[in-house]
Amino acid sequence: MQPAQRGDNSFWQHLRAEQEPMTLRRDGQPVHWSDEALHRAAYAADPTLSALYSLAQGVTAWQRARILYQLLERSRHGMSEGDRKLLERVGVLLLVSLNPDTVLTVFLALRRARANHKHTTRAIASYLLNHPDMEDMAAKRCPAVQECLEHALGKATARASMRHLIEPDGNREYVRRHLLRFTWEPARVEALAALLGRGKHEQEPTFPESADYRRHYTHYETQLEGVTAPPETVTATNRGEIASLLTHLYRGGSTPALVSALEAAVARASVRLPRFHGKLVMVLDASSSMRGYGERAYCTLAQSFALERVLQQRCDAYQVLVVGGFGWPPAPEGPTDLAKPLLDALEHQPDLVVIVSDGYENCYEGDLARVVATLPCLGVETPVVFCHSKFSPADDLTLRRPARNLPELAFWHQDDFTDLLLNFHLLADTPATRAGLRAFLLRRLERIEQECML
Amino acid sequence: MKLPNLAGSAFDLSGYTLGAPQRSGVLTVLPLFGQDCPGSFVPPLTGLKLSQVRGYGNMELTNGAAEGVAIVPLHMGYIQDGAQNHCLCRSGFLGAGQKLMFEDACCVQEAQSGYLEGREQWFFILPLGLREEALTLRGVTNYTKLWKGIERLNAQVGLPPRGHLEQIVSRQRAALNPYQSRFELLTGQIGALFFLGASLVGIEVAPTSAYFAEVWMPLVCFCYGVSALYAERRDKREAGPPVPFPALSLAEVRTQLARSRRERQEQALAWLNDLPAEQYAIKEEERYGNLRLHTLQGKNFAGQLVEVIEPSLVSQRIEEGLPLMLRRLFGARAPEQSATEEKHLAYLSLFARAEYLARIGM
Repeated sequence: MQPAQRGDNSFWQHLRAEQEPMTLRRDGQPVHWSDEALHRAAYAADPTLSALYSLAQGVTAWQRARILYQLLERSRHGMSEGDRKLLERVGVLLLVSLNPDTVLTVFLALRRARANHKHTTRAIASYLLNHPDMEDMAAKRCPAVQECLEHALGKATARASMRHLIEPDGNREYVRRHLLRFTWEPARVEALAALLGRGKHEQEPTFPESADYRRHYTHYETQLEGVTAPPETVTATNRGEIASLLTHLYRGGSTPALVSALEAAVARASVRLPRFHGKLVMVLDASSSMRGYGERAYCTLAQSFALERVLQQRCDAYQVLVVGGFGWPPAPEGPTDLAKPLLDALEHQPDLVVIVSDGYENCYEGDLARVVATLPCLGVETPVVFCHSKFSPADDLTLRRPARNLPELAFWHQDDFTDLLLNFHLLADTPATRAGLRAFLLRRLERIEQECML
Repeated sequence: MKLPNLAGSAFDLSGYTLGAPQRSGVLTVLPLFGQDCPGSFVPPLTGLKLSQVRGYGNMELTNGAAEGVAIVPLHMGYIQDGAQNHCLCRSGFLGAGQKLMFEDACCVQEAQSGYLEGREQWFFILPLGLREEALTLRGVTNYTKLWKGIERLNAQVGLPPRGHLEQIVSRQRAALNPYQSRFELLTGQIGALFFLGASLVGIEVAPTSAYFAEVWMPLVCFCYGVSALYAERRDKREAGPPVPFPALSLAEVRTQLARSRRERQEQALAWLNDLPAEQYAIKEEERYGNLRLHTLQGKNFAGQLVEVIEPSLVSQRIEEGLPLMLRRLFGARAPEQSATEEKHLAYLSLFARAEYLARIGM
């Protein structure tokens, strides 16, 4: 499901969908990446924002690697000090959160591209010489580490530094100036020099089993991703706090304690979400089918209404149009007419229309798609997005896509709201939403840095 | 709503109104609205319980309610793990607290031992393609009687030809369950008309909206959903790109959308008006107080209905009045009962017969 290509949205979707690795050929040619033009264009348009995109949930590791490559490969000449600092911070976060093998591929690609800006050198040398398992990495990836280090420092300088380091009467000042200035632990670099300097036929040194240069990045990757793995079994009450409380409200009736707990949960969730600086109209499907059945009874409606509650808190201007049901929370009732409410929503001239539904359109099947197909003919450019309210990530949406000509998003857990809101910003694509998006990603960077103690 | 062609003189739907059609895939549902039938009727899921079986081919149901009569939904059946699944071939009445053993039930799972127990109480309604045969076999005490029909249905839908209905009802649950979401039960809905393509294939009317709410899922998912599912799989078509409305403004889109919807409603009504005329052979099966259970056999449709018989106000007035007393005294004949009673439809399950389904390609 590819949301509409609008503004940066195509790049955004690309980052979350494409998993093609960066490949280095044996012939020494520059790195091959089929989406180079897309990344180049995004970076040229806004280097810091394109870098910040890497912090969003769901961006694939190889796309993060491409962003890292660009950050290190491109010159920062003419950039403000603030922008340079920001790119530096994003670069550090990407370096620690990517698989070291991927990072080495990026470094080797930088060598092939002959990228030797100061920030490039600093990033490569600092990474290799401060890695918590640098010895293990040097042992297992010796040629790659050596090649990267020689590229960063210069071949002659790197080799001379290693030689001075190993030799008892070596020039320590030379080593300090060219090599040790990048490290916090000079003693470990001496061991590294010994490793890198060993002969081809010398046996690979052994390290304790605990030493594995790939063991550390997963912690940072988890922090960056910010999403916990879905539970083995999805139930009515493990889809986020708000939906859980709402499901109880739907099934058991409203009590003052539940209502106040709900309001508190909405407030807690809202403060972590980006603010939408624009006018958003939500078409909330509360038709009969949203009741669900069996163990899933009321679950999709509860999650949809949870989204409605937080949007009310996070939008500068907001309006909800309920389809079918009524009351608070809306009781599911009636058929699913999505076409007419979309026309109603457009009358409000919003920056974005969000249709939240289980996708079972029966009044009448095909009407929504027809209305959507008509909008461009009328010159209506208001972006409209269809959000699938699912019970679990595994829900089959085959029969639940009433308008394939609309961009589609999906959510089943409260944790998905952040991603939805980021997408809303990109779809609306106004100066205000772009600024809001940047501000949110910056806050996210700060939070991750604090959590990762970077 | 009047269906002179279809109903003939067998039943009267003029007290009911139609809602807007709902359509998904090949199935169209026209919701039916009307007043709850006077009297107390127990809904089938909460009121009726499968209490025991005493062997293959029988099922004992209990109306556990303190008051109210339970009309057993036509062709209801039960599925349980580790037990031979059964269904009923006919409807019936159970008074409050009454137990009734159906000796003419049929097994719908050929190679399975074990008796149904009073544990899981969800029920299904036989798929449309089996209903005529099951109705014909009512009163026949032979638990294997529907296996051939089930084999045939399985073969029709491309499954191994075995007397195992669970091949469809259980193993296709993931595809059948969504029919209850694809079509939505509306508040106050008391019945529905089901169409496959442009052809009416069933009319279901319940005594109360509460009753219909409980029989809705088994009907839409298992009775009519099965036919719709396999028709959709057989005639799988990718929908073409949506055609824009030829409008110049949002207001015009709104007008054209309303017109297009009106046209589709009229189209559904036209399907009803085009139905061929039916004549039914009507057979009374059972009575419970003023309730009468009849079986209908028409050329294209068959089913069962329950009527409430009430003395008409006119005849009461005549009987209570002086003129009648005088007429009786002077030897006049009592008025015919048919002329002095009013009938109200309480329950109807009318479905397309196999030959008709074959003619419309289902």
